[in-house]
Amino acid sequence: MKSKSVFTRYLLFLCGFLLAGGFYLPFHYNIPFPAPLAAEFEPGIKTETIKGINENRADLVLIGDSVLKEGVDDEELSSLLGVNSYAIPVPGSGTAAWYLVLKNVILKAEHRPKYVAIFFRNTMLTVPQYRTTGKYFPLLDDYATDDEPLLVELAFTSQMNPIEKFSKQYIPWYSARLEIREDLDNLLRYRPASLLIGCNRECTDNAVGSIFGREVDSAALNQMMEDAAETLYAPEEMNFQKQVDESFLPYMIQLAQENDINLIFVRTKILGLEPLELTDYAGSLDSYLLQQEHVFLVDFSRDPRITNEFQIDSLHMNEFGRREFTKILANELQSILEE
Amino acid sequence: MQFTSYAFLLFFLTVLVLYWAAGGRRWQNLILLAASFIFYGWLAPWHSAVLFASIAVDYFLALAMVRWKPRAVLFMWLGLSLNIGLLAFVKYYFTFDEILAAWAGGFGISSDHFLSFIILPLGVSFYTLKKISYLIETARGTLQPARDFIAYAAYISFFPQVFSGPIDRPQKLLSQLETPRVWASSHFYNAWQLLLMGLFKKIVIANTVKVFVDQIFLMKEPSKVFLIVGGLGFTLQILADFSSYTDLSRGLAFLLGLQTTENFNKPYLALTPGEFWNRWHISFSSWLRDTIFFPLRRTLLKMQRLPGFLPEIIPPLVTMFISGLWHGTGLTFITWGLYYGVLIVIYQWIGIRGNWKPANGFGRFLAWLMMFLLIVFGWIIFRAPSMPWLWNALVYSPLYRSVDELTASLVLAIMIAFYASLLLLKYMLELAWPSRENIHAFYYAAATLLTLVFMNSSSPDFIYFQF
Repeated sequence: MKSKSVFTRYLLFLCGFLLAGGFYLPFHYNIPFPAPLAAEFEPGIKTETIKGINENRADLVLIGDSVLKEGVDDEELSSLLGVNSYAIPVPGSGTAAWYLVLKNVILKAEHRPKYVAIFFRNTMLTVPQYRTTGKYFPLLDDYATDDEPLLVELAFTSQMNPIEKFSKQYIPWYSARLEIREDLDNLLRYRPASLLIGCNRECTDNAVGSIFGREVDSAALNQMMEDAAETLYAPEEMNFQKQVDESFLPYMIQLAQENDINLIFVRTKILGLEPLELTDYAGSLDSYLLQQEHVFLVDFSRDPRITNEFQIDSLHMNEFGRREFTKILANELQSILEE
Repeated sequence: MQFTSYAFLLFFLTVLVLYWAAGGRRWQNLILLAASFIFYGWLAPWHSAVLFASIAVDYFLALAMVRWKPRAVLFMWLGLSLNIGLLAFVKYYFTFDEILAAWAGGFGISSDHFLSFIILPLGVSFYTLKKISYLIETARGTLQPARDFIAYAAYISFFPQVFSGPIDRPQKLLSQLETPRVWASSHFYNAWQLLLMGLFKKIVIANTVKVFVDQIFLMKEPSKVFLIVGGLGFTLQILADFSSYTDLSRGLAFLLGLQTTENFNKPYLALTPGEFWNRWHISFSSWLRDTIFFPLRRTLLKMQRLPGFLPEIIPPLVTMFISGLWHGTGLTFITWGLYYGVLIVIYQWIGIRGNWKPANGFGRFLAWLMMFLLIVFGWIIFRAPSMPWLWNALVYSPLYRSVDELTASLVLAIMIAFYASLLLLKYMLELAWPSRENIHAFYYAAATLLTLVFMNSSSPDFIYFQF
């Protein structure tokens, strides 16, 4: 078989497929041609959390991911501080979601809190694209309106290379890839189960969902979390000066300052090893935060009071840890709230 | 810098233009060497410094072996100690770090001082094997040491294979680097199918199957049906992932006018464990065979006092044990290696060796099925988070806990079968219509579209980087 001849035929087939897809896919999936570069969000946002702030008349709102959810008891914190606290933990979130929570939830609430505490770790604050695509996208959509130019620019458009931008706009096979994958996934997931064992869509979803809700092996989970953290430890992400202006951090600070909100950044502890380069990054971040007005930093990353007994894995607290950490946190926040 | 990243595309295109524009062997090798060090030091520049130092040491040791022949063995052992020492340091760094932190804690020194790690260099396992081959063969006198340092350094650090092989012998790759290369269109026509299939296997198959394989091996106590489905999924994932790296590596090498070793030859069609290792990670298994298995066997055969069965048993066990150890420091890897050692011994014991083949089709099918199941079980050992986890799953877990589990297993098995069929289809087309160009061109075009559709779906890391 002559490779040159196969290549020529391959190009012809490929052009044929691309052309056919170019006509059919935009029509089939209702995608404009050229497709917009930016991700599109639904207009509405989740309003339960706005209600929560208003009903609790929260003066301190806590934002973070599952580390906040597992690590802080907001009711206990309220009683220890004597200040109404309300936590908005969004498991699986990153700084893009936190920016949206600040802009679209906290600032839209009738009751304006005086303090907002953001729970972060390593380089999360300056990696705008972290946890924004794939399975994380719907989570962002919960807090995004249909007009989020900054979110689109920082988390999506600025992260795309020229080939990706071209493909997204002009190659419908690429711009419709999420829809095509979903169709393929649905075909593989539901049709055979229905034909073979008479299990309908709901039955299949329940069955598959049951695996994902299982108790997990903590050693394996730790390994996976370390693998995931590699994104945050990439050399370019640990260059604070280069990253900060392209991140949500300055915008979050500006939003808070314009609305008389004090921002408290809470750096949580990670059990285990961290890259040496993170020390420089953390130093730069700390200096940056301390230069800002109405911004505070609480650093638990090397706190000896937080021991292995507190944690179920390298990030998350157990019940005992949650109780103890809430006390430690209250103690640290007390002095800031008194200022 | 991943082969599948945009940064790598820009990097490689720049190298390619400079490389072919330069002309002349010396300039080409120099560009290759510079590119390899930039590529290797992308994460941390000191990685390249370590690589350069270790290359320089081996280069001079090999020359010294020829210059002072009576001391060649001494120089060889010095080189082997340094190389294996570096490999052991990288493999066991985290164990050392934790021991040191615990020890310091005992003296009241905060272990926080040690709770930071350096980004360890990748690919040490691969280039160390190249260097060991080079030292041993030079000491044996079967290889003349390279005089051209640039060519030798480019051979060891060759960027398309520095992280995950193939582990090319000096006779194969170094000899090509010592001869002039001229651009020919055949370089491109040899490369494009490999590059395309590499991207397809990685992006469409390996990354997709990884999602549910990870989920199953993350469960605390999976039932046996999940273990089976997870094992089948990982069997597909690791082949697609590792062979995709080899395809990309070989495709890139072809574009540079260099032909490197084919690493996989339909390994899951093997009928015996010996045949599996002749088809899987070929450059590594042939390295093990020539560097450990045969020399050990020859040595044992010379020992007349030894019982006759020991030279049959010890070499496969030791070789496979080392193979397991090379893959990782965990007990699962060592068990996996020994598992293959024991399988080879058992197969030999019942008279089944190497390329054994039953006479009739049904016999061949049974032999294949048996071997395939043994391979899947081997991958379950390999992928298990720990040995206690595996033991619990094998011994104490029920076959299934609920109808939901059976349904979910069926759905996942269908997905695995679908993604496996994409690879199987290619094998079948090659078998049924080896010269029907339209069919093959159609397959490649469809594979390109699927790659486009599956881009950015999940983790881009290659499994074999960690070894």
